[in-house]
Amino acid sequence: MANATTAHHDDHHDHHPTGLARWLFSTNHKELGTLYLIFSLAMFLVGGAMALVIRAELFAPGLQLVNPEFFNQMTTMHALVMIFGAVMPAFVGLANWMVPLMIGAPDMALPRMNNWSFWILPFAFTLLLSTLFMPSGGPSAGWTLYPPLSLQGGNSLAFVILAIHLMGISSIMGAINIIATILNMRAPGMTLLRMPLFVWTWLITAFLLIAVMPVLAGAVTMLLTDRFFGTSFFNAAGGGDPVLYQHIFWFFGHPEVYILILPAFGIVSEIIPTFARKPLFGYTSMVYATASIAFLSFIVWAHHMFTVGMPLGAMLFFMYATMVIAVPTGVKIFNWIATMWRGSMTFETPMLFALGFVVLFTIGGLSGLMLAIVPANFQYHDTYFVVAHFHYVLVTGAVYAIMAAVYYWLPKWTGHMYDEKLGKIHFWWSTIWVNVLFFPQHYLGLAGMPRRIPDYAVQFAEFNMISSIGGFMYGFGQLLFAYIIWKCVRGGEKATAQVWEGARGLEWTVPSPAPLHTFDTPPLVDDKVAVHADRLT
Amino acid sequence: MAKPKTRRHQERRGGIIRTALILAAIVLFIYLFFVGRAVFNYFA
Repeated sequence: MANATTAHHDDHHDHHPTGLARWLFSTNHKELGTLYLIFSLAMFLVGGAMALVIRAELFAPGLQLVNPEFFNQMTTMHALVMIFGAVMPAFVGLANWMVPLMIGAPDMALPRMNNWSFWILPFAFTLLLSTLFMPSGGPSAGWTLYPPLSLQGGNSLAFVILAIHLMGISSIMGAINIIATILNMRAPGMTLLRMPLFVWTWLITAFLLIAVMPVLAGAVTMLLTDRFFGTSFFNAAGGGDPVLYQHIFWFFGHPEVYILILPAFGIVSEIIPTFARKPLFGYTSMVYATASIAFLSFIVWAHHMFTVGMPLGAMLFFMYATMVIAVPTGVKIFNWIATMWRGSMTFETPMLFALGFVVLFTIGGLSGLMLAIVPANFQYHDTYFVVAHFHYVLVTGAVYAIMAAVYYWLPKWTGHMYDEKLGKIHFWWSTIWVNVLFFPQHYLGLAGMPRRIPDYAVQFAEFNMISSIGGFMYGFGQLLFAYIIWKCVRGGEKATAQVWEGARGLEWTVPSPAPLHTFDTPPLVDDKVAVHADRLT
Repeated sequence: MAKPKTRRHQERRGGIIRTALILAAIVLFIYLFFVGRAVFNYFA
């Protein structure tokens, strides 16, 4: 009876606006998810273009293409655009599309706020990017905006800080929405420990966002008042402490790293069981490992600042706490491998990217362990070794997971299969060149090349040249990714509802493409539907 | 006339609003903890 009432009351949804109004005023989770993903792809290309400016300048020693000030603006903007404009909105877009489908909810809990969360972003990034055209140029102190350097630039800092506040507000509203959705909108029978791992990882990520985005807001607010209102929070001459900023920033910054990677863990935990045709090994331990990583992320922040000088006991604490993170991360990697063990594996493009993630992210994780060792960190700090480390984590980690997710769910979104041959070419092209791009940077860092410099000593020339060639090949290869998506949206082989033979879960029970409104009548979830239930056959 | 919500949505609206408000309060508290305390110390 309740179902009949539901269907009747939802009839008004059929009168849907078209054209620009459809996108401007949409409160539909699927449309907003699409907007997030398109925005993310655009920012990925913008941030990528900035990376190519950096790699072009570093192709050979000496200053050739841009002046050092602009180079510094490029390194700063590249990071801000990629972190806040590309990776985070991509994950929020994926959450918008998939979380309601995976838990059997008709939409996000707060659809109007969802619209607002998205539409803040284009304004925030227009504001941020516009600083490049201001007389004082864009921010050039690195994405960390460390004082006193960040306070010595021009007035454009005010615009940058406002843009960061807007991005933060967008992220916080998105996180509130995701938590409210997951806690209140699950279908009957969808208990917490039946939820797909992607939903779990996003739930935990959303709590991290709630906890740390206001900390970043606090840090940049104090930066703003130091620069424009005569305070001295971070000014030693006025009784302040620049190291205080670093502590506050990294109290945000380290959990932020996990905000960028936990949803990726969730995606890989969805894809590997599908293509291994086995339930995920150790589902419960995956949930606890994710929660453990999230907890530990709050007590390791000072490993980013070992070289500023701190008591020995503090260094030991942060070193060991950082190393402990390897334990739950190792549990995850073990579980992914155990899931594949004796599975009937096939290697479609999403699986290739997921496997690329497991292998290459682990390289980034291991170099992270090296960086955690205090005496070694004194050598590695602020060198290209750090750049190599976090690009393995964020490009072959987060970005690879996003690409895997797009290939995995694209047939569900568009109703068409993507071009598998082109997808595989995209994977192998990316994987070869991304390693040519980033692996030599380990050697550069070990040899002592500092990061964030436009010129370098001649002994670093060869590895920089190799890295730049890799960068250009990898970068232009991503145009193929955009083409594959465009081609799939335009047409192609019709996708079935299940799409993948081994796919399990509620999202695969709705037709492809997923209709605008799904689960107006809540589905009943039992162990047969639950993705990772042990009794799944 | 405003369209009535679905029964399921009506049942859960209280929970959704309560969750959102609690989370918003946590955000505000953390922000004020960092900025408000710093401002207080600055002028103290």
